[in-house]
Amino acid sequence: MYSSLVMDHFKNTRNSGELPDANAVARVENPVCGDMLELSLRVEDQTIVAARFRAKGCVPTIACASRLTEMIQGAALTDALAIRREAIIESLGGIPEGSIHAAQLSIDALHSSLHCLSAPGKP
Amino acid sequence: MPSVYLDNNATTQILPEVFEAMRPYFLEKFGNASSLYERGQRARAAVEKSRKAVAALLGADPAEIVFNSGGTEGDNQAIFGLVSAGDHIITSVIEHHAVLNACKRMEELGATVTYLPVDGRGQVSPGDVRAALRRNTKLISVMMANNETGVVQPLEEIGKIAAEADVWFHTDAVQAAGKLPVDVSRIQCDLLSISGHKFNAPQGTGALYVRRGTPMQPLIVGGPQEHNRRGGTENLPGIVGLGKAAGIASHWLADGGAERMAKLRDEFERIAGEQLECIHVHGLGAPRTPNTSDISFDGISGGSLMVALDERDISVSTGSACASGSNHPPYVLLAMGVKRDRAQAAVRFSLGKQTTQEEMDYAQSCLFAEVAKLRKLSPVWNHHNRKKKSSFASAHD
Repeated sequence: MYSSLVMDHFKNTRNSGELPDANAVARVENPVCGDMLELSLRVEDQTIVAARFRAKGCVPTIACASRLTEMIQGAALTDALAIRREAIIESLGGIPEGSIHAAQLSIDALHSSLHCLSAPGKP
Repeated sequence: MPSVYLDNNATTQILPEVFEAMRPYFLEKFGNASSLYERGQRARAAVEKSRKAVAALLGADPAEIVFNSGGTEGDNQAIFGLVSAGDHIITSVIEHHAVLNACKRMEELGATVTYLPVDGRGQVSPGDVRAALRRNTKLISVMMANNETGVVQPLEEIGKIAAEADVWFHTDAVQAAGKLPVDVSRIQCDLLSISGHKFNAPQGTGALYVRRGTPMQPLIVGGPQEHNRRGGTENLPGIVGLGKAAGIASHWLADGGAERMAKLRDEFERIAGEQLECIHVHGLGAPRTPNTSDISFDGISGGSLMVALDERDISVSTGSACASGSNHPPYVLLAMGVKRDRAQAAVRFSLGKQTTQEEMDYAQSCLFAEVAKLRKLSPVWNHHNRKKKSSFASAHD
């Protein structure tokens, strides 16, 4: 049902947990299925130097979040913001068509967290 | 540890003795039970022997048993075979789709349907059944035991209401037959559906109990098989398997099998309640089939837990179908008033006759590890959650 890469990210999550010195944090929820993703980033000099996630949801939601943290860690903000959900899906060897929302949730979390970073008054 | 199969409400393994009973009817004892020569008559004798075994399992007369392809056909037959445009049906919101979608079809064809709610334990109220009766009510169809929760419905009371109102009464007993004593006289039902593969017979086998005198139109017309109630050459090996499994189930029930299974299930729930915080056993407090345990684990997704257990070769089920694109939590739990988040955190464990204590111990140790792992990953599993009490613990303490 799931690709070996999806299962690998589900079983051996990368960068899961909290990031105490995060300066960009967002928690997003898929209103349809209730999946929830919290993304914590440490951004320095327009670069994501650290990324952590916590997730409650289906296997693709967890796998996409895990994969996203790999893709954005060390990336310039402009490059991170250019990532599309299709790139996450492709890098995982595909996900079931009904689970596209899982990749979108990761993208939404990334954009929300970086929006939080740029908001006035935020660290 | 070999694989542990805890999804017996989905299907069961054919017992070796069932398989062995069927084998000759694929090979040297093949035949058409309608043929008048010796081979055919041997096939006929085997079919009738099975009919007696199935009737005995249900407390019925053999002449009231109609063999078919399983639960969906039986449910469809009961509804389409009795109801016409202008008639009214009473059913419940937690029925299997074989009943719900048949009712929807009848609505399209001009019938009206009342879908009764259930209470927090998952039971239909007999008072609601009585209140829903109309002058044109033709059929009441309420399941005997629910597939998700195992909760058993108050059928004797509903049967009494149906008899008093002179309304036909059907029950989908697919999840009850072979697990609980079923007696059509006590229930006072006119129609009752069973499915072979839910109690160790092959898939594609089943039967509909039709009380003598019930004016049911056949769903499948053709030859005069099953006394003109179901056309088509009898599935000889399947029927033999169904009869053998019915006989085994009758002995198992008489020998206290259901009580032993319930003990295994109850112990599983008790230890889970001790070891894990914030778990919720659905249908607790209501009578349940002895093999079913539907549990929500707060803070995680039931679908993820199912896959994590599958990676350890433990087969369980979840009513959620995220990957199929539906994204809907189990409708049965929502009907019981369970909040969406909690409904999506549900996993169903359903034991079989072959399930051992060793298998349950192994499944439990894996369950604890995987729940802990997923909760550690969850952004909503925190101190606040852990302060909440478990509905399991509160009900059992």
